[in-house]
Amino acid sequence: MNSIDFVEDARGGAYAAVIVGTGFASAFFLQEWLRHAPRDAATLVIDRGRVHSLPWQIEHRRNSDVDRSGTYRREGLPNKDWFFTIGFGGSSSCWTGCVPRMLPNDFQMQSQYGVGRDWPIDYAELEPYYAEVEQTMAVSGPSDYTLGPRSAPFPQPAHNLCEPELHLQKAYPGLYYPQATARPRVSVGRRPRCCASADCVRCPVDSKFTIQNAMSHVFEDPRVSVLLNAEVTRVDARAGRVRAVHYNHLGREHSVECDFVALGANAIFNPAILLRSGIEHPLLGRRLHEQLSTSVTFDLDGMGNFQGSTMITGQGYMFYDGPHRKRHGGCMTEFLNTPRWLLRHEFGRWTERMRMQFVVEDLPLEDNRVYVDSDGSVVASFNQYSDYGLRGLQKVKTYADEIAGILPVEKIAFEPSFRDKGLPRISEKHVQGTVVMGHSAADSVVDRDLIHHELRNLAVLGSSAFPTGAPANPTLTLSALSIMAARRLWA
Amino acid sequence: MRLSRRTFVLGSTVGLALAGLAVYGRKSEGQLIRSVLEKHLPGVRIPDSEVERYRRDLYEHASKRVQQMLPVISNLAIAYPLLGLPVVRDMRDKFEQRLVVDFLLSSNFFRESSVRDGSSDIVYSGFHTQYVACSNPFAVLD
Repeated sequence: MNSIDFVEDARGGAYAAVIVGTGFASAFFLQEWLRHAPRDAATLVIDRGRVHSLPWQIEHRRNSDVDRSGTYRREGLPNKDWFFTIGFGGSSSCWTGCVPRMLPNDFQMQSQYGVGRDWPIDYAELEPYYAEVEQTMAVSGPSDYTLGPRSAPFPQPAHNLCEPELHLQKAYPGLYYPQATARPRVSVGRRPRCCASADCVRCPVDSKFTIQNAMSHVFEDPRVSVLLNAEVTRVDARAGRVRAVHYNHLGREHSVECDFVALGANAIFNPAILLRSGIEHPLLGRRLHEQLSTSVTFDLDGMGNFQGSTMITGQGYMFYDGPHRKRHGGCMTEFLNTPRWLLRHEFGRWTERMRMQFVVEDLPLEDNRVYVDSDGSVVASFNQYSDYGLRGLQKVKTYADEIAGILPVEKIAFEPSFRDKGLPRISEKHVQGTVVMGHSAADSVVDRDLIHHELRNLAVLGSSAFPTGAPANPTLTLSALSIMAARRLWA
Repeated sequence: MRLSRRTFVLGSTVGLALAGLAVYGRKSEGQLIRSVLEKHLPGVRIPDSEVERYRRDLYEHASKRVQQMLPVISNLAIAYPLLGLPVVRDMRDKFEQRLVVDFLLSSNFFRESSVRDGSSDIVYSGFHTQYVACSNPFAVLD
């Protein structure tokens, strides 16, 4: 971090590239961009937040001094929010490090199940990039994974499961695995192994992968300058190209000329920047979505829990893929190994409780959208979940009963909002859609390489490009897309 | 005399409260914490010094819910038996669970079998916040 060229303003003259954001999408794009760019390719990275060290984050009990809720306005469902971190490293500061791959069928929802739309790329095309991201993040995962072809094993051995999960593994052969996670099983670089601390949002031992602890060297490249505390507001687009980027820094408007722009702000601010720039497309800003999730707590009778070696130990695919996805959303499970929140207080039965999270895919709806209000503020308008997603969420009761038939369960407790109203949690912390990728401008805003269909020197990175949102967490996929986009740019 | 539903409910509530008072009385926070711990940890030796250290730390580290409920319950002991009513029983259970679990994870309880079987005193070792590293005493790391 000490060698990063932090600047207070852009220098005169044009930059070869301006990269917006410092989170996963931008960092992986920048890393690949620099591998191919000429030695004199001056590159400016602009981020709205500042650098906050992990000790700062722990001391202040937050990941950033930017209050996310003040950066945009919510509209629509009152119990719906969108979580992310603004600051150097973006949401890599606050994430929990879950990095499952999407399954092959996740890319072909229309052709396989007649719902949603197909991605313009498939699993096989993205697979080598998945492997690269897993290597960079030092991902821990199972050696016997069979849910999609792999060109390389997981870089790290799998974490230990908890006792109840060993029974789930037996009951669901090939469908229950130790989670693929960027919480390392063995130490790597300056990151110690994960030791099952109670909190990943600010890991007390700095074990989980973050941009700060594992990719800051990318920003130390002598071609790179980093401008913090600067909000990109719009781009100048003329004659089929982006010419300049406008940003607000310390209350003043500035602009910088450039040959190429990559937006990695997130799925709320990427479309906002394009909309403010007068870039038009019927789908721009639309299809805002993320997964629906709820957790279920099972009280066990005579079976102890919490033996696993990390905070989320197992990933279940038993309700994920199959013909049921024609009718309702597929569901992935996560097993939470958090005694701090789950221990029982009956004497001697402390560990006889477990909690699983059920994460259901939603189908993007065009009415759910990001737009820029007349006063310039960004609005995330989310009016409804899809019936497809809600039907999938309702199945959680059946799934819980099925699991209770496998384990010695004496009581099942659902989250009140789900139990009483059938609603998911307020957010799954994944913002997706809004700048959809596809084959042509007729059906999408960016192409398969994340390049804008009309403005060919503009890339729009991250999960904003997702045509559909799988049950799987999006981080590995959006990071792999960034590498692919940068490499194809130079091919 | 015919007992109206309202009188019955009122009388029952007052009766419950009085019964609760008899059980819990008007307690200091330390006494309240001790009574909850003893209720859920029968046979465990809990020195006053450890309860007092825990009580002090609660105000700095415990969840807001526990921090808010603690003085209310201890100053208005009459409220405590009311928490036995079904409508708020869940709240009381969560309060007690938090109080007990935070104390156990902040101590040598799970590491020392002699503490669990009552042959040695429990030692409170500082509040177990989410920032305590490697804090799962049941995790098998190797």
